[in-house]
Formats: sequence, C-alpha cells, structure tokens
Amino acid sequence: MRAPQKLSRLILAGYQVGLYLYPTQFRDWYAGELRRCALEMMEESASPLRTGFLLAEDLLRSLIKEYFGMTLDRVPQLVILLTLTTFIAGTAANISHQVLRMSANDPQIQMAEDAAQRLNAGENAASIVPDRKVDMASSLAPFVTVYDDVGKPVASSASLDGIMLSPPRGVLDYVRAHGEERVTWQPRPGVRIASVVTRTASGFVVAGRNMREVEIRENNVLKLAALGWLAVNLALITIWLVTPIFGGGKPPRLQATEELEAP
Amino acid sequence: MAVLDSKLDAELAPLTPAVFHILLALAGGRKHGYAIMKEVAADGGSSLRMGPGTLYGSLQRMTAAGLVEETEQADETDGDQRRRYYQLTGAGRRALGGETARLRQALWAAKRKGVVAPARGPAR
Repeated sequence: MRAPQKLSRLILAGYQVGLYLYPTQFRDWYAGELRRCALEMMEESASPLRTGFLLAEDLLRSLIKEYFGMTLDRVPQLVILLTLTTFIAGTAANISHQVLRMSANDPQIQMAEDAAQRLNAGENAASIVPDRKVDMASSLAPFVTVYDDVGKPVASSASLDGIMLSPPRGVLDYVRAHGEERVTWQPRPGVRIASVVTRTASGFVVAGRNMREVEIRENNVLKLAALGWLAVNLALITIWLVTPIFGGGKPPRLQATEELEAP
Repeated sequence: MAVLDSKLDAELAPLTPAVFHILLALAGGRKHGYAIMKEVAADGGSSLRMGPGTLYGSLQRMTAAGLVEETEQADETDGDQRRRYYQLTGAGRRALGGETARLRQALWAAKRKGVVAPARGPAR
C-alpha cells in the first residue's frame, strides 16, 4: 500500500471516530452520508493531509454549531428542571425549618398549660415558678414567668441582665382575646425566645426558652438544603450538557422520502 | 400553523451565505451532499469552503425550515447503495428568489455609489 493511501485510510478512520462526538440524533441520521462525503473528498484530493485538516476543522466547527444549537433548543427543559429542583429544595428546607421551629415549643407548651392550671386552681404564682433561675441570654433551659392582668411580671424563673421582661404588648392583647399564642420574640439583639403565652384567670403565664440551638440547627438545615440544591443542579446541568452525545433517537423519516419509496 | 409560520419566516428572512449557496446549488436539480459541496465550492469560491459536517447541519436546519426536502435514490456509481438527495421546495425556491433580488438590489446600490465598478461584457 502506498504511503498516501495509508495516510488517507488513517485520516478517514480518525474522522469516523470523530463522528461519534456528534449528538446521537445527528449522528444516527447523517453519519453514513458524512463518511461517504469524506471518502469522496479524499478520493479526489491531491493532498490527503490537507483534506484531513479540512475535515478536522469542519468536524470541530460543526460540532460546536450542533451542540450550541441543541443547547439553545433545550434551554426551556433546563429551566423547568432547575425550577423544579429549586421548588423541591425550598419546600424541604421550609418544612424542616417549620418542624424545628415547632419542636422548639415542645416543653413550653406543657409547662405553660400546667402552670395555668395550677394558677387557676388557686396556687401562688411564686410556688409554680421553678426555683432554678435562668439567664435568658446564656441558658438554653426553659423558664416560666407569671404576669398579672395588665402584663406586669409577678414571678419569674428568668431574667435578662437582672430584669424580668414582658412579652410585647400586642401578644398579651391577642392572648386576652384568644386564650393562647405561640410566639418568638427578641428582647434584645441576639437573644430570641420561643415562648408559649397562656391566659389564666388572673393574668398570663409565659413559658419560654432561648432559641440559640434551634437557630443553629435551622442554619445547618438551610446549608444542607443549599448544598443539596447545588449538587443536584450541577449533576442535572452536566447530564443536560452530555445527553445529546448519548441520548436521543432518530428523527422521523421525511414524508417526501416515503412518497418516493412507495410503489 | 407554527410550521407554516416558520416556513414563511424562512422565505422572507435574509439568508446566510451558506444557506443561499446550498439553495443555489440545488437550483439546478436534486443533488446529494458531496455534489452540493462541490457546487457550493464552485459558486462561492474559496471564501465559502464547506465541509460535510457544516453542510449536513445546514441541510438539517433547512429541511426543518421547509426550504429543501430530502429524497433517496440509488447511487448510480455505487450499485445498490442508496444515498440521500436534496431538492428545493417551493418555499426554498421563493427564498432563493427573494435573496437573489436582495443581492441584486444591494449590488445595484453599490454600483450607483461607485463602490463596485459596472460589469463589463465578456471579452471577445
């Protein structure tokens, strides 16, 4: 075999391998024709090397064009997928946040109800408040505070900077009308209290606790949801980008072809 | 309706040089890919060199736009092997006519402004 023929065959074999880089649909439909064109170009060429360069340049140029075209056509698919994953991640994060937030009220509900029952049964406010004093800013322990009907603290197991605090006036007004409220309030920046406020015969009972740990968990859940969202979306984008190489089917045969083939 | 609209757009919109030259190559009758490539090279010169990938990518889009249609027939030079032939559709012919008119108009304007020297008759 002469050297130029050997080179031609080598170039055509390389071109044939290069055809596998086209999107499946394009490859299935046109690979035979592309091979035949390349063969004919080579047969008529005086310089196999020059034809090889032309084929390589054309392959590269058309690959970019085909993928760019397909990518643009498939942008709506990606937008739908990303919207869906964002919605799912957002919903999961929101549900986790709500579960954590609701569980932050767990001991307070029981403590407030018990305290209200005991007060309504005639017990002294000082006797139903736990003995152990709690610093609202630093301790995670739940506390109970009893208020009179105008919202003035009567007895409390908690203080902030040595002062017994009252929840916002609007909260007490709401409880006066509805019997109970579960509310988060911030007596000072950096201190958030999850509290259950219950109406009693002579005033109100507030059971609360610092939300520091719950907030840390909420942040962790948010970070996990964001990381999950990022990982899933990166995977989706990667699959979306490479799918044209491996996926897809043949386009339907054209009517004109079938008409010609009919007997 | 959407197909009709896209065909109408393809007929009215200015054509890219590659699309114009493929349509021009097919104006003389149906051709297979390699014949189109050679005809485009002959009509467009070295400035419009088109490889197989570029050609079939363009043909795919032009088929989708209704400018050309694909047929299939046995290759006379290759026994029973069938190969794809392409031919102009009515829309393709109109698009080619429209583009030719646009080019004629542009050439006329260029000549009027002295950008292009008037063409001389063939040498005797």
